[in-house]
Amino acid sequence: MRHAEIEELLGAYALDAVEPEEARLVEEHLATCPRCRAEVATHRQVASLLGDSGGAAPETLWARIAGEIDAESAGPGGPVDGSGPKALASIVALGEVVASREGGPRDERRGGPTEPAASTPALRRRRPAGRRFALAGLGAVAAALALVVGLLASQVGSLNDRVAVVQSALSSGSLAEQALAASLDPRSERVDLASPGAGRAPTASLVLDRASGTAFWIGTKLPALARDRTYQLWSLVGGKPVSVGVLGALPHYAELRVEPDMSTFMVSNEPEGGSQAPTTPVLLQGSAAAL
Amino acid sequence: MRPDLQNASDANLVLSIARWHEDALAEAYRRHAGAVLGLARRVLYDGALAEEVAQEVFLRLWSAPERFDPGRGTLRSFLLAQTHGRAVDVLRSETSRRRREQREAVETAAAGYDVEHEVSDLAVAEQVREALGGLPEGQRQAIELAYFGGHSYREVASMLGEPEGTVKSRIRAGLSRLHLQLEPVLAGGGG
Repeated sequence: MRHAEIEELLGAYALDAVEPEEARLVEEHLATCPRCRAEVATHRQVASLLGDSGGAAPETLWARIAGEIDAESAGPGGPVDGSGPKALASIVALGEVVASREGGPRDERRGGPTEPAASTPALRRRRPAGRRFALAGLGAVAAALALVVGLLASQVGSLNDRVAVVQSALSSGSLAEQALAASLDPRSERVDLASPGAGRAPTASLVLDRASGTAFWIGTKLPALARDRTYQLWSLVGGKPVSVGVLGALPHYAELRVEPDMSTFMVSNEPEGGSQAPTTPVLLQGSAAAL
Repeated sequence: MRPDLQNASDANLVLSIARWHEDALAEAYRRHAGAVLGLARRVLYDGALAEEVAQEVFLRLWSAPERFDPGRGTLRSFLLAQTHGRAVDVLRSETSRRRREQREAVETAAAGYDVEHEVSDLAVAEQVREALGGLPEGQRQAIELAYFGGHSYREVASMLGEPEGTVKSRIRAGLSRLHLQLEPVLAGGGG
C-alpha cells in the first residue's frame, strides 16, 4: 500500500474503524514511520476528549481488579521487599520479574506491602510472594528479556532504566542495582547526556549523589566501541576538561567520583586506557540543572 | 496511600505501577476508570460488558505498563484508546447487537450531537461541544458513528450512502480540525 493510501486510513485507524487487514497494514507501516505514528497519537488524544470524563467508578469493579492482581502463587520463595531496587536481590529473583512481565501466569505477581487509603478503594494488605526459577530456566528468561529490551529500545525514561537494570544485573550484579536505586532516589541529581545539537534525545545519564560525591553512569544505549578504544567521561572545570573516569568499551554502568564543581559533562571516544585530554570530538554532553 | 501519588504525573504513576505498587494502580483507577467505563458503556450499550472491558484495561496496565509512552499522549488517552479498541472487538463479535445499534446510531447521528450529562470538567466539555458543533455535518457524523457507534468506515459509508473514500477523509479531516480547535485543551490537560 502506498504511503498516501496509508495516510488516508490514519483517522479511521485511530478510531478503530478499519478492517482487520487494513489495521495490520497500518501497524506495519507505523513501525517505521514516526510521522504517521505521531498523527495517530494526535487523533487518539483528540478522540479521548470526545466522551464524557466520567464520574466515580464503582468500588465493586476495583475489588475485582484488586482480587485478580492479589492472587498469590504457591511455592517456595523468600519474602522480598517489593518496593523497588531491593526487589532485584538476586539473579533468580530477576528472572521471576522478567518472566512475569512477559506474560507468565498471573499468580506469579509479587509486590510490596500496601496501605489502605481513605480516598481510594480499600486495598487488601498483600504478602509478597515469589517463585524461584531453576537456573536452567534462565535461557528462556534471557530470550524474554531480549524481547522486552528490544521493545523498549526506542523509549526514553525510567522504565527503560528498570529493564536495563534487569538486563545488566544478569551479567554484572549489584552495580546496576545501585545505579537504579540512585536514579530513583529523589535527592539525586540526574544529568542527561546527548549528542551535541538542539533537541537530541539523551543516550546516557549520570545520576549524581552530591552528598557522597559519587555518580552512577547509566549508558545502556551506547554502541560498543572497538576493543582498543574506550569511552571517557570528562567534566569542564574552570573551562578545561578534567577526566572523571574511563568507562570502557561497552559501559552499561559505572560508579565514579565527582567533585562539587563538576556540573558540565562530556563523553569522548579515546584509546584504551584513556587520554589526558579529549583527542576526539565530543560524542555526548549534558549539564546539571542550575540550582 | 503515599501522599505523592495523588499529584504524581502520568509517567511517575506508571513507573510506580511498574514497580508493583498496587496503590499506584488504584490511583490510576481513581483518575480514569470513570472515563474508561463511560466510553465502554457508550460503545457497548451494556453495563456488564463495559465493566469487563474496563477490568481488562486496568489489568493490562498492571501487567504491561511499559506499553504506555508518556511522549505519545496522556495516560487518559492511552487507557481510552485501549478501552475503545477492546470495546470495538467485543462489539464486532456480536452481530445481532450490531444490527440493533446501526439503527440506533443513525438516529442518534441524524438527531445531532448531545454531550453527556455528567462531566467533571465543564469548561473542557463546553469547548469540546463547541468544537464538535463547529464541524461540518458530514465530518461530525462520520466521527460519531465510527467512534461511538464502533462502526468501521466501510459500514459508516454504507449506512450514510457515501463513498468509502469520502468517509475516510471526513474522519481524518474532522479529527484534524478538532485538534486545531482543542489544542489549548490538550496543551493544558493531562498529567
